[in-house]
Amino acid sequence: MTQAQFLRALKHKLRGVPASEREEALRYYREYLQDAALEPKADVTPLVGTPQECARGILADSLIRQERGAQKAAEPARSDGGRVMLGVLMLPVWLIAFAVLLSLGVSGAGLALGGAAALPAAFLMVGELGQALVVAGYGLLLISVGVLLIIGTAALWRLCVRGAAALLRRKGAKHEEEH
Amino acid sequence: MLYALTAPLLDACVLGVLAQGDSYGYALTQQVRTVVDISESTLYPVLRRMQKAGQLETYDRPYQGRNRRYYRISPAGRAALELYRDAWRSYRAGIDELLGGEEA
Repeated sequence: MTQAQFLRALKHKLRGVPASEREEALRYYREYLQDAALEPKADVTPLVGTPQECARGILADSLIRQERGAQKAAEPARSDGGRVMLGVLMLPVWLIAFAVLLSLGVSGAGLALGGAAALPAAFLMVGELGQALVVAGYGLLLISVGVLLIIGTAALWRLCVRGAAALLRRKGAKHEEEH
Repeated sequence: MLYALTAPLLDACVLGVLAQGDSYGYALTQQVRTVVDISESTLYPVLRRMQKAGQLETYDRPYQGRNRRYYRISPAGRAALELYRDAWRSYRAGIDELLGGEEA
């Protein structure tokens, strides 16, 4: 394997490593081979080994450091006690949020139903066609507003749930750290 | 070579060589390999690790139209080397005792 082939292969094997690390390693071996003053097409394996061997050491170090970093970030998120405690403390907030969402949803449903009821009523009860159409129009408007409200409520609900989950995951961790 | 080099001892050797003078990757490796049969690819991760631990520093010097990266031992590295030397003296004395034979 020539110098150029070696460096190319090493670069490929290190593609999973952060760019700065990869560049440092390639620079080291490039200079090493230059200092060894080989013929450009000479086989470098007796001098530096295979790209596989070289990459192995670098990857191992990189993985060890990544794992340690990941451990530090992951550990805090495993406190069940903290999570339960937080959930209980935030009960009033959950109740208020639930009440607000419920009322919004019910209002939306009410509007939609009212609008739906107005449609046939418009034609059955109102004498003049023109006025009936106007009432029907209002009915449709109510339906759309109601439906929009329901959709909005559902979206808000999902947002609250996700926010609560994220909060419990993080805050539960901080609670654990304080203890 | 009968005895394999442990990782801490390799660190110590690198620090020892650099304590006598700055060096660059190729020369450093060749010097260590005169005594110990390490694989060619062993030294880079070691140097990188010690650099990140603050025991070595690097600097560049132009050489034949390109830059050559030199390694220099840091104060922290010198402190570590002292510890390694102490540990080695105890270890060597202990082994000598077990082996017996002529006094070193």
